[in-house]
Amino acid sequence: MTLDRTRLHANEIKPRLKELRKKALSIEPNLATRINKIGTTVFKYKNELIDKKQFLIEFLNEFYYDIQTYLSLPKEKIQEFYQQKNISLTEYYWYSLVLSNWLTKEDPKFSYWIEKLLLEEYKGNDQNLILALTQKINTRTDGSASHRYILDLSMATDLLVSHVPSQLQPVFVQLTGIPTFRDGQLNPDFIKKQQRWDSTLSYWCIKRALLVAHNSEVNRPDNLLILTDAILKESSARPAEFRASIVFHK
Amino acid sequence: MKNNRNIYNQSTSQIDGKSLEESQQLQSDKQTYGSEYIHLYVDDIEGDWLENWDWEDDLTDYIDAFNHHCKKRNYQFAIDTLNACDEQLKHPENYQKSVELYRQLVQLLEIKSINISIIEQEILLKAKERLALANSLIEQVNQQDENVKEKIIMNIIEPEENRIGYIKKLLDKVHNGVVRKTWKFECCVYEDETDTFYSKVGKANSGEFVVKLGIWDDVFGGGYHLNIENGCEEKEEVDERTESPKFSVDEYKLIQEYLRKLDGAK
Repeated sequence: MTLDRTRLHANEIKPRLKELRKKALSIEPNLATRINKIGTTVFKYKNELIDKKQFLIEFLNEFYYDIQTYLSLPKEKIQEFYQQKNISLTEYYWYSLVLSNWLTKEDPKFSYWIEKLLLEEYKGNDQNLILALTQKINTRTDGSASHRYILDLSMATDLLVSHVPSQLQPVFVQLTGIPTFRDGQLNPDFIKKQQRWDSTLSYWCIKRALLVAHNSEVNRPDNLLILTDAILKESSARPAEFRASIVFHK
Repeated sequence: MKNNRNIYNQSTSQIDGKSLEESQQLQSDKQTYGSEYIHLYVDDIEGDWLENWDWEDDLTDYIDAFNHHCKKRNYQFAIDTLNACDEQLKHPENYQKSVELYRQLVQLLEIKSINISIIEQEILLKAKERLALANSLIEQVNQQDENVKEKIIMNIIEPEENRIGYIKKLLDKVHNGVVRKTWKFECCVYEDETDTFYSKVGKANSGEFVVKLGIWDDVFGGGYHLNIENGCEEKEEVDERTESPKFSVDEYKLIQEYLRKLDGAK
């Protein structure tokens, strides 16, 4: 079923965010602080010449929809939706655990990544691959997946993946390039990336995490399918707490 | 804290499903249409919205929410609300408000005395810290005002070419002080019965600083005076009558106007 979508002019994003803040003040005031931080960080860049504002708009829009849902859904209601199979296990954890964890804890990189979105340093490189994987997993009956800007920029996570019928928390999956050069030497950038990934996971107390190294061949439809299987398999085979890397090399 | 969220949400639970459905729709559009999906939601993305982005704020929403949480005795949310408007409370024009809000919270928690929970004790401690900070900020501003006053006093009479400008600045400061109750002001009018003499004099003071000002008229003309004293160290004076070379009708009118304004502000 397709709902009527609310379509806005970009100038209406700010007043909508302010309304959201007003609502947040009476339900969870800390969230109002986070919204103010977005507002004031964006304000700092109002006089910069910025050519591509799409990523920032996408984040602001997605943030609005998520927070609007979060504020109107008490935890037991989310549980109820999950039991009635109105939301997937991944979405259930996203709203009840991951998003509330993000809102309760200080995000040390928050201003930095808002700036990154604004200054076009965010390239959304793997975006198509991530969305393709998310969609592939969601069309299956044995899994669900989700991609969010907050996951990507705060939690070093490209997608959340759960495997059915497991009830375990979803796996925080990060995609990255191949760890070795052609001559077999280990790429030092990969090691640095892995270290940053590790410390980000620890900061957010993320229990299940998977680093997937891949080459460009992954984009071929049959490979995409193999990767989807591999990620779901990891999700069901691994314990309640793990951190692992796999290399997808075709 | 999470439990509280649930309590507040119950009244809106009928419409919960709608937000969720909309959010699910958005995620599904993202997967279906890729980077084009955003155009289903927002128009004119590359337009001038960023240039128009102001994050101006007034405190009303925060104060309303603060009072609401205090009324519900949710002191955690009350202090979280004040944290959310911390930036605004740091503006000098809101220092006084900041003191009032934190004082209110401190008093509410102190009333609880032995019934206070551990979490509330922590909130009380934080609120006390913030109250002390807000008070010290007000003191700093007063101190700065004093310094400015001193500076003006040193300059007022010297540069004769713009004496009226300096007089105006000084009287503005005094006026602000009277409005904020950091200066006191008294005023008297003297008239004789035959209507041949009229005089209005005022005295403003803040600590050691005393500013006296007045105008007078009689059958032969008129005059004005302005007197500034800083304890016994400084003394400066303007005293002009119609026949004196430095007499200025504009200065006369200025002092007359400020006598009226100061009297109105006290």
